[in-house]
Amino acid sequence: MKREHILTALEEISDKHIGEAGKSPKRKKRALWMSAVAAMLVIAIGIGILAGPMRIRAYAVALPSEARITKMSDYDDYNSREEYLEAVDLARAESKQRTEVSKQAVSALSLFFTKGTKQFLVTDDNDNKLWSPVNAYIGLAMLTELTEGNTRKQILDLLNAPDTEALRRQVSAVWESVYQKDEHEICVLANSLWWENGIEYNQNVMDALSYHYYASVYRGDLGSDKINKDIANWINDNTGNFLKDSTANIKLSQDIVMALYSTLYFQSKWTDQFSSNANTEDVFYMPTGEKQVTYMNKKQKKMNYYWGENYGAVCLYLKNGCRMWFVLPDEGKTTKDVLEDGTYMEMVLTDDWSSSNEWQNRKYLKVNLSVPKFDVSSTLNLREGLEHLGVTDIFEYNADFSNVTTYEPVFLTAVNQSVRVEIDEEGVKAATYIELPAAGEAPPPEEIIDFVLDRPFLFVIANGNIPLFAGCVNNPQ
Amino acid sequence: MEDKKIIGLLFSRVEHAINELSIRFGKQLSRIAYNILGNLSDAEECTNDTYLALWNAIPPASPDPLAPYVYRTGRNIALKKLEINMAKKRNGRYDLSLDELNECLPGDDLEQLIDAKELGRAIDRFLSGNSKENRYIFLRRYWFGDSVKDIADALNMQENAVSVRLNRLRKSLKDHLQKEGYNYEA
Repeated sequence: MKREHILTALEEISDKHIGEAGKSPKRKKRALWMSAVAAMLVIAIGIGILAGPMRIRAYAVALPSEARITKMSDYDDYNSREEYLEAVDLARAESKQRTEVSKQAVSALSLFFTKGTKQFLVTDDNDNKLWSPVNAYIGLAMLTELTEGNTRKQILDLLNAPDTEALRRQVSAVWESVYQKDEHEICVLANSLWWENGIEYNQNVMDALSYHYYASVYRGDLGSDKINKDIANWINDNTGNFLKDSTANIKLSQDIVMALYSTLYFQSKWTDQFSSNANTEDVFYMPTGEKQVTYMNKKQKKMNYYWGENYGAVCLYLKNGCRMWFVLPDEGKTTKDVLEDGTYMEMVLTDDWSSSNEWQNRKYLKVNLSVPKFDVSSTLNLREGLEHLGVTDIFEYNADFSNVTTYEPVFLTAVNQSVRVEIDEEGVKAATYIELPAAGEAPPPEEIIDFVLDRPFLFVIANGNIPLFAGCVNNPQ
Repeated sequence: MEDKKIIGLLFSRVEHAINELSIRFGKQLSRIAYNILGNLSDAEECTNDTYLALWNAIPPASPDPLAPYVYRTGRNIALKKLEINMAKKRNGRYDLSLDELNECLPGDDLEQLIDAKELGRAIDRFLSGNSKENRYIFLRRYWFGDSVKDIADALNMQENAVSVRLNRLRKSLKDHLQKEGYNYEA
């Protein structure tokens, strides 16, 4: 049949069928992997008095911009080798530029990450504490788009950004640097703003959130069951249902006029997996007592051992290029001592295995490693910590949200961050554990070292030098 | 943004409508154009031409639903561009899809345009009788011009499984058309 006749015939396919095929299909689920992490930052913004909610269904005001990352097609998809090589060069140049801006952003943010981790993880109780620095950073950065005056300035100061333009560039670079999504390796940030019906807003601000922060903006009757469910579904979709226990309880109060949700979902396999046959059952010494846990072990694993004044540390590599750091306080020291000292975060932020920028206290050794399997979660209200860090106006009755609305009064009521981290691995063999050598500024004397995480420890999951998650594990569950 | 609101913006001649079209349909339009033309820069040009064509067509047109109208517009513009490219001996990969489909369509006795339209309606009836997933696979391959790999990725299926399914669908379409009286003898 002639080509033009085939095309004419295809033109007769009905709208119903074309529209149906134009939508994304439901993907069949595949089995998950072994290490899953997710975080959710919730910023709820309220008003003093709110008129009765209107019965209007949730409505997309703006949808996320497409990722500005050049995705290479298959070689066969190019017309010629030259065209393919051109595309490779373009993608490389783009990646290099992004890495450069992202490095500048990390440098600007190092103080925020260090101060924030100390602020949010140091507590006197014995619960597990987790937070996502990059998630909080992006959530706070989004607030600068909504605010004006001193309210905005306090956030810019905390994030060490001169203005919103610079911050946008940094956020885009960080977002694009860490974003990854394929079958097994996932690192996806997502943002959404939920807006109360009947409150006027500046569409340009919503468009800026969509473009610079890849955010979705929805409008609806905040506090209603429908919107609560919509929000839970949005979070579950963006975190692979990993935070389902937390989202089941989402219930915005009626005085909330906007709520901001920022999620980060991460999953990756170890480059060098633990063997399930090496697992052992042994005691973990919590601050409040002892418990039996399962340890994953590696015997005489060649790796870098890091140390500081109060701690020793190792890091394990993940297939997506990220690293997970395990930081163990020296005998007689606590996680609080290490957090207050803060140099471990400096190590995470500066050590770069791919360049000559190495952390000074590190040595390539054989390590007998024992890491407890854990699945820990926590929900933190970051408000008090943020106030200590100088962000105060936004919580006041006269907070300045004039960039997005003329409606008054509007102010922040809470900044909650839920994080869950799970490390799950097969393993076999019992590792003898020996206490760590006394630390200090001298390097560890032995060429073989036992690194046994059998008491409260810290961890950081970082993409390059960008800390995605940080936590203090007092009780591996 | 809802389709009706986008149409409202187009009727009000607000240029922001183009942004909304881009947010809502840009990805799909680029993909259709790239599938047909096999060239990134041509596809980008084609997608921009599509926004302009929609701006000129709405109003007076007020398509409901909007999505298929947008996809058709984009596809037609890409096909026109392909004709120009073909005159310059620059073939797109969509031709491979059409060759594949042609294997199960009737032969030379179909010369009149009106017959081609009737054949299209027969294919549409065939699709109505198939499952949603089969319709998706068939149309993504032969209407949107997706590669087998693209379809397999979208459905989380193996490429082989998609190829087998397409083969069965073509055979089944041939049976269907024969039952409707199409002649394969010629």
